Amino acid sequence: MTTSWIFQWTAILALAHLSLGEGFSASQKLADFSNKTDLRATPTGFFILDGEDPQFYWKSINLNHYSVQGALLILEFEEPLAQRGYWEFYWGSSNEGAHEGTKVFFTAGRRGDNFIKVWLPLNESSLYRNHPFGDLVEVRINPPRILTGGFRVHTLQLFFESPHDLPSDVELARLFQYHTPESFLRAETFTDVSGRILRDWFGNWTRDPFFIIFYLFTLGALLWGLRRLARSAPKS
Amino acid sequence: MIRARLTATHDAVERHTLWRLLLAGILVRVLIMPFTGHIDVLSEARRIHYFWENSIWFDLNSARSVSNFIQLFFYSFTRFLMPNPEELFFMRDVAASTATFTEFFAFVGTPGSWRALFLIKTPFLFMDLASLVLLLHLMKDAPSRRRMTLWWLFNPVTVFSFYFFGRFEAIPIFFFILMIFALTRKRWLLAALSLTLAANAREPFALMIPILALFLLNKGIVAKAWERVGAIFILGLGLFGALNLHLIFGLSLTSQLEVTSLMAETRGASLIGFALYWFSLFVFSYGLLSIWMFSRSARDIGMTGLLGFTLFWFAFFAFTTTTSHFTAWMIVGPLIFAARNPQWTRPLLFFFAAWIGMWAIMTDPGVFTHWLAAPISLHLIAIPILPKWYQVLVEPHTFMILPYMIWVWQSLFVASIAYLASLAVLDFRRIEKNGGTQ
Repeated sequence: MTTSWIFQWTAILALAHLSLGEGFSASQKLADFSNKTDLRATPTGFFILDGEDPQFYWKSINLNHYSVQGALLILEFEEPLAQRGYWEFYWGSSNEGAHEGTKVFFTAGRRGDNFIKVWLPLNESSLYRNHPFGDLVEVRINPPRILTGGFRVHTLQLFFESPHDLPSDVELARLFQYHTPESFLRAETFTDVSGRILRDWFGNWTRDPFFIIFYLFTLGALLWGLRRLARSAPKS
Repeated sequence: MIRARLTATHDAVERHTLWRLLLAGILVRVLIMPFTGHIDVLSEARRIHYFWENSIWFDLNSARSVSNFIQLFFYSFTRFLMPNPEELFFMRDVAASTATFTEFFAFVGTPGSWRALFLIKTPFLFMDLASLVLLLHLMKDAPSRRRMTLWWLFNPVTVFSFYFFGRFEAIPIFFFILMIFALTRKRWLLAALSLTLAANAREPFALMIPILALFLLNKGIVAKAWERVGAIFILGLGLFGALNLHLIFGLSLTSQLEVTSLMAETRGASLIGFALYWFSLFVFSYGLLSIWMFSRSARDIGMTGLLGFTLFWFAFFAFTTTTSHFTAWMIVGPLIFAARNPQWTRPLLFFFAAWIGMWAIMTDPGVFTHWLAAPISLHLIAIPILPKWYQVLVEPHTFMILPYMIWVWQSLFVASIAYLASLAVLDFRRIEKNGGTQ
């Protein structure tokens, strides 16, 4: 694997960041979470990747018992992305490694973005069904040059099948083996998620004003035409 | 003079009515266009974009070259209006051009996706309306034209297929209608060319090529020898293209891995998969139809062609498995019959109800959900689809388990097709008795 091909990170490498603010030093947690690392933390709380072959694996998460339906991960960048790039998220097992066959998710970042956000609808992926939630996650970013600064996890949320499955905050903390700031790690149901996706989708309303103006004008013209025809109907 | 004035008034009323229906039909379409689309709409748009930008030709395009070139033609005009096309149509690996759900979500969540969906569907709107113009030319009187306009613009099948689902079915259907039109005008070469274009716009139309070839050999058809030979040669070329036969000979145009010749397409098993050991109802019906088209001395060529190809699609959809939007292929014949004969109204409404019921209860995720193929599919929001609700709310209280309910709706769908088929044959017989005029 070469640097020019793909960087491999763990999604929860990013999670490692979450744990840093609560009494752990970066070096301590990184030692826990990575077996081979060229990651260094900056004073501002971001991480920077360098080195020829950085690989990060986050281990010892097992949520099978909790019927996790999905997760939301938001990565934050110290500087806006220099160009378009994409992220691939791999679920796998630490025994087998997170290889191609376990690839389940993909998202794209745009030039100028400060965040990327990915929904991980775990139980809805046909690929995932053959690969139960493992204890290893990788995030690959390509091309690597899109990052000119550091990165960190802004949010990781887990979604459970029903409110009855929601683990308590204490259980969550135990699962992740560190203290979880409430603002970062929360449990939600899919009802919350669907509302969020709908809001994103309806966000087009404000994000493309030229089209909205054209669209409303077209609808108005058609309605005006219909009304005019209705008024000018010839007598048979 | 009074008659002339009455005729003029009548024409004005008819034109006025057609314009109102047309505007209302366009309004319905515009209301839908930006907001829905199946995941395959993105796959198709990406291939168009990559061909336009990077000259990357996909083998899948070879079998659908006509659809692709027409979409490409429109894209060349609308490209400058497309917001962030590199981002919207980004393809990580050109060897896997079919979009994944996650990629589709990335598309839907990108600013400008509404505009993109609207622009992607403009060629379908154009072909849809062009189809209506052709269909109106097949009608003899004002009431038929009004009914034709009403049925074509507001039938749920094509509106769903072209705009909710958003695939390119409007293109092959236009050429299919052109073939029917050419047969009524005894333009054999145009008919062969039209079917060839339809088959190379959507592969299953190639199944009609042998039937048309046999029909052109019918004794009732008066044609010069070179016309017959030319038409059959064109049909042969059409078959070659639609089946992607070059792939059989290892002549792949790209390194794309996901496409092969239709002759090796395992999904084709659905044509004969619904069989009782050795007996396939589709092949049986196909054989019957071929014999009829080849041997019966046809008096009204146009009507015989219309009935034959209507029955072909009836057999196809009654006895094979398909997906919801494919039903648009079979709807042309019934709508023409219904426009000519008001007695078709109620059976056709029953057919639409059976179609909706069947696909609602046997849906596959993201294709015919209660979101009607909206971008926000089951995969992303996990709201249960109707079958799941049925299993949770109804099944515990009745013997009617979900498979039984699916069979009920499938049977109702086939019953409605069988009834329409009988109506079509009766209409055909009535018209022939009246001397072959409609």
